Amino acid sequence: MNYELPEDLRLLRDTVRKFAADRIGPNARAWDREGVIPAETLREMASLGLMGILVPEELGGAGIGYLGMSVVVEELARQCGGTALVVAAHNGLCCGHILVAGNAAQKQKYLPPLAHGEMLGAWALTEPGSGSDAAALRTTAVRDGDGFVLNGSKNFITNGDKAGVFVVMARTDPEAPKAKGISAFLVERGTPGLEIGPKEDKLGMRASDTVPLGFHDCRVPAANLLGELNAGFLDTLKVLERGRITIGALSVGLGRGALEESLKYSGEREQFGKPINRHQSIQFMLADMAVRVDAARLLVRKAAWLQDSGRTSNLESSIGKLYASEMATQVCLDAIQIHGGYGYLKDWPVERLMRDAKLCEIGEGSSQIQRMIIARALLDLPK
Amino acid sequence: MAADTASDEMLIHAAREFARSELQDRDRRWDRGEGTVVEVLPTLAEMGFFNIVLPESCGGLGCGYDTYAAIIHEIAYASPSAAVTLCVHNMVGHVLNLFAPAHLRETLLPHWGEPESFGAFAISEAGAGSDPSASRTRADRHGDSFVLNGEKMWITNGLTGRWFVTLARTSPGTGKNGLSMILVDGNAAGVGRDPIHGKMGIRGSETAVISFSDVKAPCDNLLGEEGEGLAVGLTALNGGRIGIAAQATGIAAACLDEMIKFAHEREQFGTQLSSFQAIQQMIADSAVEVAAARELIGYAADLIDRGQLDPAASSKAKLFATEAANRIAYRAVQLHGGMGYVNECRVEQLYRDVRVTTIYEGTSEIQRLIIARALLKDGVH
Repeated sequence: MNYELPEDLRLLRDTVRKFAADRIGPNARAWDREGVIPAETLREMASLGLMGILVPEELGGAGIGYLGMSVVVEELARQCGGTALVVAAHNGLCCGHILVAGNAAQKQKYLPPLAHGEMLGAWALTEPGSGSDAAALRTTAVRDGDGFVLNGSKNFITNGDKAGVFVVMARTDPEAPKAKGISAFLVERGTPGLEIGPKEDKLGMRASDTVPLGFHDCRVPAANLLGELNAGFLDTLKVLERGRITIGALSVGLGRGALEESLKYSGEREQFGKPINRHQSIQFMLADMAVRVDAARLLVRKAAWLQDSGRTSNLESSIGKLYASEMATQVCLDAIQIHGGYGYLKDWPVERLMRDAKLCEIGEGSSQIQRMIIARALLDLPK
Repeated sequence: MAADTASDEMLIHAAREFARSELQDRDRRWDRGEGTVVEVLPTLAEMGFFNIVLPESCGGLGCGYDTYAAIIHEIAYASPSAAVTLCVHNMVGHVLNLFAPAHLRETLLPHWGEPESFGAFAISEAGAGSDPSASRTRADRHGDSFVLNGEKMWITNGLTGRWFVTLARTSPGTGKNGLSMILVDGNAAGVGRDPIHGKMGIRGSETAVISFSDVKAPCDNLLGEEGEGLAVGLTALNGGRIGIAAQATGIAAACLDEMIKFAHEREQFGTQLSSFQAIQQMIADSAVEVAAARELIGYAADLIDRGQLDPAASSKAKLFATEAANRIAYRAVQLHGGMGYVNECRVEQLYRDVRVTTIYEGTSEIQRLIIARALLKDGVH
């Protein structure tokens, strides 16, 4: 693995860093409060190529792979976790699944508008009764003439409030073992029978919307079957294997943000006659935070590099996601501690970063699921 | 950590095979007080491990630090004592190559791969550990020679070592000014060596008190500029820390493998330990930390190989790897239960061996100071 980013990604990093500092950071507090990102910002991100990170250039995307994804998402999350999550779910999950499983016609139809930011993408796996045990999902899709009819409900769907298209996992063979009877479907906004529920009132990641979905005899054309019939869960696992790289990168951005804010604050704040960063106990906290941020970034990039070189990163994605997400929460808590009472106020960004960070330990496979995946790989246990 | 080339890959593989077949059982014996690593020095030298990083023009293998770390990792996996022995010898060679005057480089380095050239650092003293500027060993000029008087402590390779890179005060006063690094021949008259007994771990490696009583060293043996001894020492430690980080990670990897093996073998409540989530989590957490340590080491090594000086990177690798290795060894003993508490079980020894890694070549506290200073100066990058 090359530890130095290639030249094009260094340039991209600098561009996104500046964009995020100018256009996202100053608004992040308002977006967190109001629970919305302006459409204008999404358009600006699309014009930078950030809505088609994985999509090949011929389909209107940037085609910069998972290393590119990890760079972009880290920079966005440095300023606002919610904004980064919108980009992560759109690119990694929705576009990612279409790239993994879609046929030429589906890619041609959906990826250009997604990459151009004309349409936001969402991905619907989780249900009220199936979170970590995702294969236990109960939404059904029944073949009916030249289409499928979906019934059931989904929840915790990122981008669902505004998405133009949803990738939805549903059970197509109730007789098969639970992971072997699942298929994925492309469901467009406005399809009769698709009900988009109210936005959840979340602890963090508030700039990104999260909604429940209802499917009531929701009919989609057979052409919207994404991937092979009954093989949807395998594709889902592939999407998650890669999606975890993105959540890892998001965590790195949050941790770095907390560290940078702490460095700044501790240089300004004086107690006992000197800046608090001259006290060893604060210095040691900063040092430990920096080590963890670095370790997390290296683990995430290792997984990204494996993906981009065409290899599997199942173990490495989980290692990176687990370490980075737990790092982010810990580092954000330490940042609040360094800020003292001010860190407990919404006036200071670390309070928001900490709330955003907690999601990373839960979404796209909780820490407990990551540990299970890692242990199974090491112990060679049945999956 | 990864090999730079196919030949590096073969070297790492050779180190692994050799360490596991030839060193591991010996290391267990050394731990019981029967012999030391000195008995295998000729073999280690013959394998090329005495001279890993020096360029081929000096008779070295010319490996990058990435490969160096991977070799130390493999050696430490089987023998933590052999690993630290090699770390020190290789780093002494590195320092000589960087700072020794031409005549010393020309006479010493072509032989650095031979067991007779065994090297050591003599920096710490009873009163100067984390603060080497408190060193009191003196080197007074008499004609063409320095005359050294004083006592150094915790000297790895100290009983058998031939060449001592020694920190001594060359001008009167106290503090960091006036300290110089001087190469002292261990065969010179007046050098005393006493073993330090009762170490908790790495008992197969030599640790000694070295005393200098009117020991003469030619003035030409000055390494770097007079008065710049601490700077020379810091450069040595930059690479040295990568070695200790790799040593700790090798021990951690051995602990992890012992955990996996035991989890499969041991049955309780009618099933293998490996089927319990509590056990799986201990193994998963350990694997994550080993992976993170390896990446931090690889990154720091890559910076050195590209000539980018960033002492904080080596400190981050050393801090994380050694602290993590201690946590992993703790889990390994815990997972083995009562078995892990007796010497018959290898993890009992590894638990003791790993403890020193957060102490020597800069304690964890010193690493945090270095990292924090770099952060306050340069910010996050």
